[in-house]
Amino acid sequence: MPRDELNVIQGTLDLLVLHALAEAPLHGYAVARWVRARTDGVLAIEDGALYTALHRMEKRGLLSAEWGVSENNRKAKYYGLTRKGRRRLESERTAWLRYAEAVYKVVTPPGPA
Amino acid sequence: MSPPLPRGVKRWLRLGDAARELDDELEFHFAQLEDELVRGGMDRCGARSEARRRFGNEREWRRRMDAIDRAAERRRAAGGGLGSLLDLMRASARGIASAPGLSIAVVLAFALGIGANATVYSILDRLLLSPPAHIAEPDEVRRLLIDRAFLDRRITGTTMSLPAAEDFAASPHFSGVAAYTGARAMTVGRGDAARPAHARLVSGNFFSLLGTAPALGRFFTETEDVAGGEPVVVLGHRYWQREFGGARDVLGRAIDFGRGEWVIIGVAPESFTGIDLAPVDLWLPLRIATTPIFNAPSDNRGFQYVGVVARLAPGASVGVAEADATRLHRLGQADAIARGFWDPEARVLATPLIAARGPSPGSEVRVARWLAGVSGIVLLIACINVGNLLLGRALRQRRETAIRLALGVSRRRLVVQALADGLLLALLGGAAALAAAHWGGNVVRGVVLPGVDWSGATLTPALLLFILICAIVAGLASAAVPALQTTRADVNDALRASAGGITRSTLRTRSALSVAQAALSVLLLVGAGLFLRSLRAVGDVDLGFDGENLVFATVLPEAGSLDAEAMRRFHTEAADALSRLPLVTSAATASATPFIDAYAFPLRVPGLDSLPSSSVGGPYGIVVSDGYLETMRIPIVQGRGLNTGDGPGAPAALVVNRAFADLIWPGENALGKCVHIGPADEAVPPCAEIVGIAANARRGSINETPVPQYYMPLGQRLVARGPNVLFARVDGDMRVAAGAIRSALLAMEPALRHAEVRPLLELTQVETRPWRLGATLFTAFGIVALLVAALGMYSVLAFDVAQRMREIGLRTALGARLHDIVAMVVRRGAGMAAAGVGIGLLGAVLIADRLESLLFETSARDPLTFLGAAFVLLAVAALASALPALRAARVDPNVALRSE
Repeated sequence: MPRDELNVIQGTLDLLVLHALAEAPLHGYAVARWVRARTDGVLAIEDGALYTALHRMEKRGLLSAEWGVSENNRKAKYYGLTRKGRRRLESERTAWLRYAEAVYKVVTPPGPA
Repeated sequence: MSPPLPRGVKRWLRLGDAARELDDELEFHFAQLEDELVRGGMDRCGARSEARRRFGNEREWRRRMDAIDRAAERRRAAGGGLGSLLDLMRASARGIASAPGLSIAVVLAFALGIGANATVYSILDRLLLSPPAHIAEPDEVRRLLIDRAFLDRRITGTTMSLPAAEDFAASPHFSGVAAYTGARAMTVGRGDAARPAHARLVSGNFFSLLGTAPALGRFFTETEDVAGGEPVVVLGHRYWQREFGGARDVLGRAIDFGRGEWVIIGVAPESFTGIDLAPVDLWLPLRIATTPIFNAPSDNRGFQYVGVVARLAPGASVGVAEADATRLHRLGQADAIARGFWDPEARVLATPLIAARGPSPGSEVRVARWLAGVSGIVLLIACINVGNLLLGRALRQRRETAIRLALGVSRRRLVVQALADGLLLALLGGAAALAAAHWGGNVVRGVVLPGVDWSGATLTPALLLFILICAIVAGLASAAVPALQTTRADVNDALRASAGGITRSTLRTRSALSVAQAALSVLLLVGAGLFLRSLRAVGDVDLGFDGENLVFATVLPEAGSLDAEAMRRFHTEAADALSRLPLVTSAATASATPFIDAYAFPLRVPGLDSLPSSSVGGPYGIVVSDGYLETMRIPIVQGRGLNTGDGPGAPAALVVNRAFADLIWPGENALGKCVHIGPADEAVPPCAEIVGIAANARRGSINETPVPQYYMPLGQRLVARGPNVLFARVDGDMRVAAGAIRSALLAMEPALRHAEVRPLLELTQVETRPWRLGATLFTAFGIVALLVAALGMYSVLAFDVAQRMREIGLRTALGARLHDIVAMVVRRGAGMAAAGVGIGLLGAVLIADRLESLLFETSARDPLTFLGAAFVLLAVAALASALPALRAARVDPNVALRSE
């Protein structure tokens, strides 16, 4: 990790990216904005990390990329989910929810039984 | 690079642009973010630094992404990302479409090579690979042959008498035994409406034993097939279609071929020919038809005229069945064995049905085998030529290839693409070949092997598979050399290589391919020459008689209308009448026809206990009218011929041929010797004196050891057999004369159903066919090969000249004379041709021994043929180099040196 502030574990970052692209293909900047908006800036994700994740997931066949034209007529690289990526999104989401539930159970004080 | 490529292809063509792509991507990111920050109220400078801050350590992230991208690229290029087969094929299709001329040449070469092989395959399939059609469980059905001593050698007899065939029925190892005769030429109808037909006589259980079902009506059965039974006939499918238009109401109609009326009871299925391959028009019940057709009783053990087919009983082994059949055969032939007429050691063989797997495959099988060889060579030449063309294309594209290699595209990827190119071209060629084999195949088959029923031979799944395999092998083989050659090149060299520099090894490979083509062409040319010389030798053969302008006539009287005596009288009178026709110079009658029939009569020679045996058969006797030897132009070498003086009252006279005299009285003068002609157990017949010795006339084959023969005067009736054929020497148009002779014969005797008049030399055509076929095929394929080789050589030389423009220009500028330049190019062409000639002739010498047996009185190492083939190839090579040489000569040093 190049910077100490980066404290989002890689699996979580991948899940966020997959989520961002679930609706429609987006370019990297839109993905970054989506993540920032949804997480209210709580997760300090460097844009570089985000782009690296995009490239890594493209290489693994989770994403496919193609060049298109952005809203303001600029050439931009768009990422979309492949079928493999969509399957990964489902399994990651399930796994993460179970994980979060388990951690939540541990860290919240036991209520009245 | 071609712009309209599909995206998948585009992606791999754009490999290596990843770094620039990353720049573009990030540039967009920063621009967007800065714009947004500025819109939010930040100044441009602050926005820029904020965007960088949010990105993190740009250099580090970039390094990581770069590594990821490069790894992905490597994996794609290395084959994990070879792309789908479809992508490959799509890329190949682009390449093919972008060079239509080359592609058409390649596809044509493949179509020719594969088409020839597909046609030959369908022939081989019928002759060598597949059992005859419409036979249930053909592996259980066996031909029974008799292996026995005959005179001084062993023969494998395919025919036996019907009683001998019936001997096998007692064996428990066969579930059935059936008999059949060869296809016999008949004439259906009378007078001018007479049409030829081929009849085969088969026993009543023949169809049920094979498990064949009729296409219409029914087959005759075992209970119907008894001597003297009702005459019925089953039509062959082709004959039914041809003569009756496939009418379903033929059942119950009658067919008349001069032996009474035969009622049609059924039609055999299409392409059913029994267990041989010759087409059959009429199927007749064996026991009913034997007497009317062969004029012989079917129960005579001396009359060997049927082939035998048996179905093995369930679980029976071939060896045991053969042993049991041998036992039964010797038992049945006990009488003949006891009298010394039959080999006591005769053995029965149960051989498979497939023609070629029998112990004595016919000439058709031999023809088909070397057809396969020739067509294989044609495919090889096609592949080499295509390889050469593709190599030429690869050379032109070598810079593009080098660029791709430099950009990190793997060599494997390029090789695979090149192979895919070859494969796609070959598949296109295969499709064209399929069309060729479909439309042209039947024609070729009919010409090559007319004695086989080819119906139903087109487009079987096996043929399609064969073409596919051929195309795949040919495509990969021809693409392999260019694929390996181009990618072996060093990237730096190739990139630096301008039009002036070209890898030596590639040129060497192209030259080698041209040499190989030239060598194969020489091989085919030598084959063509040898067969042409054989054909000429056959034409020049001295038959012992003069076959030119000679016709022979046979007649068929109404059943039962003319007895033997009437036929004798008719032929005698007809010979006289024909000789008076305007177009006929002389005519005669005889009891046998060369190449058709021959008869041996019991002979005794005073002073000899038994006649020395002749390995070629005979001696055969022919009853002839006076004027026969003159009409045939058989020269008398000693003594005199037969004449009108040798009549009923005169002393018995004989003319024997040279072979006869040499056989019986070697080293002695045969003139004046005495021969007794007649059965041994009767009173000694009068002595016939030899009055003349004739030259050896051919008996049954063009290519035979002289057969002992003798000629008996018709008037003296030394034997019971009478004349059955007329000969006439014609002066003028053969066709007109034949028509006149036919009309004259029919007018003479109203009881005649028809008369057939044909040139005698027509009978030799079957025999000369292998040589004519060889000459035709080798010449045709040889010319094709020559053209292809010339094209290959031309393209190599032309390319060479184009490559060396600068060098040639330089030489010219330095004072090289015109003819030096021309000589330089021609020398290269001549070198390739000479190497090709050398290798080709060496190959011809190596296969000479195998070829020799196919030739006629021609040495397979015939120097004249070898020289001729060499000359033709060198001449064509000179032509092929002339154009490039002239181009080289016209090089303008000013232009050439300034280029590049």
